[in-house]
Amino acid sequence: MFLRKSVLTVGLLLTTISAQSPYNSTGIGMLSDFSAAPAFGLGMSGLMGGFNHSVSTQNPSTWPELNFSKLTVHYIGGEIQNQSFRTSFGSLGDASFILPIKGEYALGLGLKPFANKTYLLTDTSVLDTIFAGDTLALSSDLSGSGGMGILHAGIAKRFSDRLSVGVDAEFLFGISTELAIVSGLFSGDTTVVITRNHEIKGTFLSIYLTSSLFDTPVKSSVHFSVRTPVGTRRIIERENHAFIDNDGDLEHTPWDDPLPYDVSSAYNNITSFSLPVDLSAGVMYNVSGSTFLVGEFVSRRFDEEDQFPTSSISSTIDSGRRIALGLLREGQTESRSFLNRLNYRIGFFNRQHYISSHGESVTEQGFALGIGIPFGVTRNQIDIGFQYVERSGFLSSGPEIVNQLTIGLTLSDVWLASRKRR
Amino acid sequence: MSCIEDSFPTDISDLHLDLLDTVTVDIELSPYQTPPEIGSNRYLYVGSNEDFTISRTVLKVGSLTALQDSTFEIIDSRIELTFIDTVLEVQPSFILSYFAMDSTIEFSESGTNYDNDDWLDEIVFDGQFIADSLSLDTSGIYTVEFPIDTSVVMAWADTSADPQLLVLESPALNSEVLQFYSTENGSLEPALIVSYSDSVTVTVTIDSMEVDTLILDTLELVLEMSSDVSIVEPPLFSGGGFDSTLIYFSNGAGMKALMNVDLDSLNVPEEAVILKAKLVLYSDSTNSNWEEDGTFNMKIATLEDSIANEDDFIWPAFISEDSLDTGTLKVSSLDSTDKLVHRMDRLIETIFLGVEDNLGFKLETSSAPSIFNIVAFHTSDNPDSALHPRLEIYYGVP
Repeated sequence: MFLRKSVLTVGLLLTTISAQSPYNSTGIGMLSDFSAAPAFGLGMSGLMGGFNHSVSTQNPSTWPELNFSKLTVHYIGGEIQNQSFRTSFGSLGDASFILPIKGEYALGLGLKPFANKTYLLTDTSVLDTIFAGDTLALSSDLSGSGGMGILHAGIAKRFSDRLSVGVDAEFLFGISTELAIVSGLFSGDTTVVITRNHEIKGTFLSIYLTSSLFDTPVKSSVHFSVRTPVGTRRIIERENHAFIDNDGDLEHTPWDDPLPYDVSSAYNNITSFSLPVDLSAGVMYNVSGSTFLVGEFVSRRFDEEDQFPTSSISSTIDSGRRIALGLLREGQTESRSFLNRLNYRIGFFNRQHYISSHGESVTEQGFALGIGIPFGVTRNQIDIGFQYVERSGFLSSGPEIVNQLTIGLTLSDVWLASRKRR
Repeated sequence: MSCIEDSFPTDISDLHLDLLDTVTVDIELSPYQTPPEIGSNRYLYVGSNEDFTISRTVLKVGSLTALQDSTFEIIDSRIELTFIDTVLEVQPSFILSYFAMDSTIEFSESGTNYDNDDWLDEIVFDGQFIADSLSLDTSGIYTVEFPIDTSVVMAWADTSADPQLLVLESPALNSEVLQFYSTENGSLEPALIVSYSDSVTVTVTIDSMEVDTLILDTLELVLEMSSDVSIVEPPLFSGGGFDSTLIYFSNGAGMKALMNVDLDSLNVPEEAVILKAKLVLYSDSTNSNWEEDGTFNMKIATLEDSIANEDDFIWPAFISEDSLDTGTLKVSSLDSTDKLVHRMDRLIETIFLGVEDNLGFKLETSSAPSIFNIVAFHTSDNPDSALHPRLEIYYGVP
């Protein structure tokens, strides 16, 4: 029970205290393709993590490379703005525990955000209706909260010096709430509130592969992954009866119309809806010494034709993609210079979200910077990543500017490693 | 943690209620008449006008236990009624009769009316008081005062005496109605006023010594009536002069109407939220007896029981005792354009939701400047459909 409560608490942190973008209202919300600071600072989605040249905490097939167990927690904060809109946010990005076992196996467990349904939209259109000689000017506000998180458990095995494979089971969970406020009826004396909730459950299975195919240069590697939904999926949709909010508290109380005990909510059990299938490929190429050229490509498609039921405004689910290129300069642990011991990351990426409307997609171009600060004999590390993103899409005429900062703390210890007796 | 929460402005017009629609339905109204229920009126009347006759007003004397104190001596007594009118063209004599109200007499200000007051004709009065003149005070208020013998007052105050009923007969008036304040007015109400002397012990100080002194003082008791009602005989639908294609509302004439609306024919979805429901009625000012300087308020209430015999409500229906039980009601006012718009969202909504059965509605006067006002409204019989009574419902489907 305690574990379940803890998981739920952390899950709520992951899914509810997070960035609000207008595009969260579309589809299943904005998918979170990064959550850990090293990948973030390199502009990657996580297949290519950049914790160091060989390890990504989000890629299980790299975990056998770890010498120490890792407990890692990341925080994401930032700001989204355009000419008429500005919002800041902060949330827990990723929390995971990775346990390498004798350099051959590894186990991992963690929580990370999956999709965000937090948004606050104001209608700029005006709908006039004539009723009983009065002109009714309607306007709407739409807000959403919540989202989806993932509890994942992974296992990895090194098959040879050249090949490691990881499998990650991801359990999708979350609750999102949508609140639509239609007001302005009869000189603003009427406000209609419409609410609905979605509780979602589903499962993904991911397979990761890491191979050091290259003999030269050494330390270079290629990475592949595929993530696909498996098993049953379910959304329990609760549509509350719309009500006129006479007392202005946005809650359905006995002062509202209709009376709350005169109406009931409708429940829908939805088992057919789209979930993404991701194919990813990446390369870590040792340019020289401790400098690596990093490339990553993610292709995303949805497995069913059905629209996602939590979509709040009209949009189309299309395929998505993400391409990123970065440079990693790995720190030299034996160097006497503090600056030489740091990991430096820089990257660029282009992302096309899966959401579009009337042929217009949501796209991002971003620039990323990061630094990793190792400390302690067990390779603890503080990672800081920054991204500057320009996002364009169908909901606004001008681009949104997204400035995001992540801070991650990774603590290491020797667990399940053979220790020498004194 | 989020610390800035600007709302993102964008065109999300398709988020409005998916379907906003208006349905309008003509309504069927059945006028009917009951004896007036004016016991709670603030005024009493005697006289007549072209439509109404008020031959008498009945008052019930309130508690007289205050007179059972043996220590004081009654000097004089009078019953006083205060006029509303400040200008009186005639100043008639008034006769106030009285009798003891034994257990065989059923009087209540809410139930006694011209249709059930035959028992008043058979009463043998115990006596009567006469007021030959009116009093006018310095503020211009007229009163009529009936002097009463002390022996009569003491007999009324006897612990074994029955309550007293007073009947104010209408004096000879030339088509005129005189108006008095009633017990519901809160001030200047009809009262038995008793002047008496009583001994009072007062402590005074003389040469630094306190001395108890017994003095006589003249005091006044104002004993209000416990209830009162004027017996108003209204014009009847069956008496002619009323148009069966109109509906009429009047407190003094007991004119009301039943309303039936076929809501099932509107096909409003079950999940709809009723945004507005308005009953619109247009008054016919030429056929109304109406004072333009006042406000006419009408109330509409849901019927809680089916009407057992609908034939009873066919024009010119007269119901001796209106026993229709009603639920939630709303009150609306006639506006300056002779249009009366009732907001009845919740009444309609509970029917759509199936919480209440659609048994019909009752419309009647809530308040008017005078009980003699009669306000006529157009019905669906009017050739001009724009004047038809109608119910407009504006709803949205999320």
